[in-house]
Amino acid sequence: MSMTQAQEVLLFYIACDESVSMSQNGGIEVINQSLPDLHAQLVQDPLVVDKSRISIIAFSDSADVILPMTKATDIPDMPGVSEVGGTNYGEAFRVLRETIDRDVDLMKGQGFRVYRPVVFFITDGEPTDADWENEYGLLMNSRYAPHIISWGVDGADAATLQRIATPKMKAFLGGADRATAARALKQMFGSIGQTIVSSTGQAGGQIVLPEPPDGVVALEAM
Amino acid sequence: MKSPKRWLSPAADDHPTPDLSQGGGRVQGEPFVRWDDENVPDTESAEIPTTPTATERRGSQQQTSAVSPGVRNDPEESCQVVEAGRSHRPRPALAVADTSESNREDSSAKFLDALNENQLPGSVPERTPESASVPEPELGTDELLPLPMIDDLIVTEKTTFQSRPWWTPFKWTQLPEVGEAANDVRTAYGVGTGVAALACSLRGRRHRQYAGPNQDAFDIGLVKVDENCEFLVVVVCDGMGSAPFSSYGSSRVASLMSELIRSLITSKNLRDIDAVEGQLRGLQSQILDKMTREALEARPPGLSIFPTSIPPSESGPGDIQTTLTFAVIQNVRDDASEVSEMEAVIGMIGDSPALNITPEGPRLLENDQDSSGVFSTATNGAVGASAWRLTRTTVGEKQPLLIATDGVANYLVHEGTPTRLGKYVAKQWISPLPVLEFIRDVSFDLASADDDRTAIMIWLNRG
Repeated sequence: MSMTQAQEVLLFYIACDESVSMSQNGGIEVINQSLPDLHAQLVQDPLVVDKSRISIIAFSDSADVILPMTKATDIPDMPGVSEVGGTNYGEAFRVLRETIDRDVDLMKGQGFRVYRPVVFFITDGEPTDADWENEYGLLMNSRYAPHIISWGVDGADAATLQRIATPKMKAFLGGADRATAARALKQMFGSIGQTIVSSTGQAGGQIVLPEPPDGVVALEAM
Repeated sequence: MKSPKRWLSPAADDHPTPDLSQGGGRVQGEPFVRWDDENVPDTESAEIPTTPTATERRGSQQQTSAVSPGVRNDPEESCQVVEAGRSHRPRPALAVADTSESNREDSSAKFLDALNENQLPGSVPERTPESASVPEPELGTDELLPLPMIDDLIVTEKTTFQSRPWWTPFKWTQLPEVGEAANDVRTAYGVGTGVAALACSLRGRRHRQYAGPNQDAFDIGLVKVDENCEFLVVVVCDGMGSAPFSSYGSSRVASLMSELIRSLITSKNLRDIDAVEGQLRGLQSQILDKMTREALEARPPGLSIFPTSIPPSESGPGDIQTTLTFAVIQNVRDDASEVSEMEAVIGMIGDSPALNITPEGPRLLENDQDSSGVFSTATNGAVGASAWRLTRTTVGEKQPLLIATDGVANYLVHEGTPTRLGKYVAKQWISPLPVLEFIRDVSFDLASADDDRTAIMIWLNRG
């Protein structure tokens, strides 16, 4: 085990819905365009590079870690998402819990001081699994329960997004129909990038929530 | 075309160590350092990755090395700090490959091994005047000695921020707006009777990047009661980021507290540390109340940042909030005294700690408040407070005292254990050291250590 160095680190997780409906409203294409843009934004900020790690999880019927926890400048090529199946929130929360648990332990074992992780949860619809709240509860009761900021477009339900967002965080809802969902999603990725940059620029792991983009409303967590 | 080599400052003999009672000295006039233009890092080699090509493949990402592409990690950059009357001391590169995040094996890893074995070759030399016999170099008209660099003190691996010079067009280091001093580097140092003190405050990376000022402040000086009684008073403040005028608040509170303590000692003719502690304990509420009123109401001319934006009637403690840590040390009565330690009383509000530096590592005078879970911080402010925490310690030959802001202290001890940097400091700062070395050390390069940094070392000094 390495000697402790007390270096602080913020862990950001982006959970992307890649269900079939995300293809129909252009969401898949927007995500695949936006992830490289997000990466380009992050590598330009030395504090983000030095102080944070990024991970991306794609979920549909199942959930996969498509980018393991990585420093921004160590990402040679951003992964993408592809249209697959339904919208299983429970799988997303299960994989988030297992991944965060493993990542935080790894970083702490390496002598890092780890701030509470932040999850950006992006979806375009209602969950297709009825018992997703069980997995959500397990995540929120886990040792390293993260902050969650939820982002919804198209068929996403405001109350569900508010339920997912954790205290002091927010739910963002925009692009209420398929015609406007892609544009709203694009703007949301811009806000996610700004949140990461602003938060790493703060002392003490403070999360700086963005102003909602045009056409997007910010809702309080329930 | 080669740029001309240059001497940066004259010999140290022309600049005797200042007396703290006369106000702190500055870097200017320190032992000279010579730069070698050939040794300037090749900044062109530190390329920031460009936007990657978008792909739609998934599952192909592999966690890669923690060593950023293009980020220099060259521990072989040599350094010599040359001090008049002393030997040319080779400074080892202190970079240590982060073995947990990368498999790099370079010479810096040897430093880690040495550190783990309590052997730091070359890094903690005996500071004796043995080198007075080193001959002065003879310089021709067109030939100057190579000018070695002061290398970075890299704790794990060179950070992205440090991979570029401060003048990079990326604007990673920005000047603050007109009217607010950046205070990028402040230092004060000198001796009193039987005591030596060295202070340094640096603007942090976060404020450099976002054009903010250094929100840390310090004050340091002597209080002479009479010929036989002298105290050293040290105050450190860390302005809170949530306060819009915290840089004003920290500097104002530091100077006010120093003045109030000095006034307390002289007006009550306090002659020993027990009496000082008793007064600080009994009058803490009154002292803090007076400090708060003075800080909020009696704004001195010249400090224009605060008053321009908020009328005095509408301002409150939250606008200038800051932590406060002070130390009062009773100096030994005679430089030649056989006294082996000095008594000190420490007062604290907030998270700027005091530490004893021991050969085993820095030791917090209060327990580390971090939980064993995820890390969080909560800080109390001095403005508007009614009480401080008081504690006592001693300053001895093998136990100097460090007062620091969390921008330094957070990286010295973690959960009661000295960090990699803490172990280095325990060796390097155990006795007085040249000012430029101290500034270099406080400038340590560690990812996430982006806050302002202030450190004041106090040593028993019997000459």
